[in-house]
Amino acid sequence: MPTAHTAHFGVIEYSAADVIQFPEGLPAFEDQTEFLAIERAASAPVVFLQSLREDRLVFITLPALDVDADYRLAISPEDLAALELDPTRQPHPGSEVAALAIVTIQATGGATANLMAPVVINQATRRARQVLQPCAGYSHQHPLAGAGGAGPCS
Amino acid sequence: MLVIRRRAGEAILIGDGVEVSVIDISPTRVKLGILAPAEVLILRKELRQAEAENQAAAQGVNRRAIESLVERLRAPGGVKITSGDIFSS
Repeated sequence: MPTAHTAHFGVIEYSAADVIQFPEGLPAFEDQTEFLAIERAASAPVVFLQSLREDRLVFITLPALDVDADYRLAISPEDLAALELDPTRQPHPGSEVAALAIVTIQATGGATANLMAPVVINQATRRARQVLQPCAGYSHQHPLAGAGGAGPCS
Repeated sequence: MLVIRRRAGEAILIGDGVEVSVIDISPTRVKLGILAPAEVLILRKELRQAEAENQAAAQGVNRRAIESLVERLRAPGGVKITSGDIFSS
């Protein structure tokens, strides 16, 4: 089985079927086209997207539904086609697609999730894309409850 | 912010050599034409936002940050785990 050398998870074995393909990379990382999704019980519900091209590149993500239980995808027709999804409707995160929000951790300790531009993974084909949804009313810096100190009732 | 109304066919000049024209207006979208020198970058705002967030996200990853994030997410008021293992087959 192929192995990946990672900065944070050591050497990991994976199979070709595990690889998530980003044909156009991600914004600001257009050359990063292959990732693994790493989930560990100790860090649930975090999903780590580990680059297979760059050992030190890993994104911390959360399933969008875990950040906002009412989250709805609003993928453009072009992005639906690029993801090889049914162009006539929005997919619902679950068995058909995974929708992950990339988390940014600030030096101050606060954390935000990019709900405006989720990473959408076609579960059947393992093809993925970070889609931009500027009109859906979500923030690219959605504050994570419990992260960064005082909550609303403290 | 300067707020200005334009009809289809009208244009705005910005700085030195940038011209924004309103080409077409529909109920939900406006078609803009932008003339600018080659060195002026023109980018959809949400793309710039996504690029900046991705760069910041990639920078901020280290073991301590991950551990402290997970701790906070699991604290009362933190993230509710609804989707379980997203890749369970």
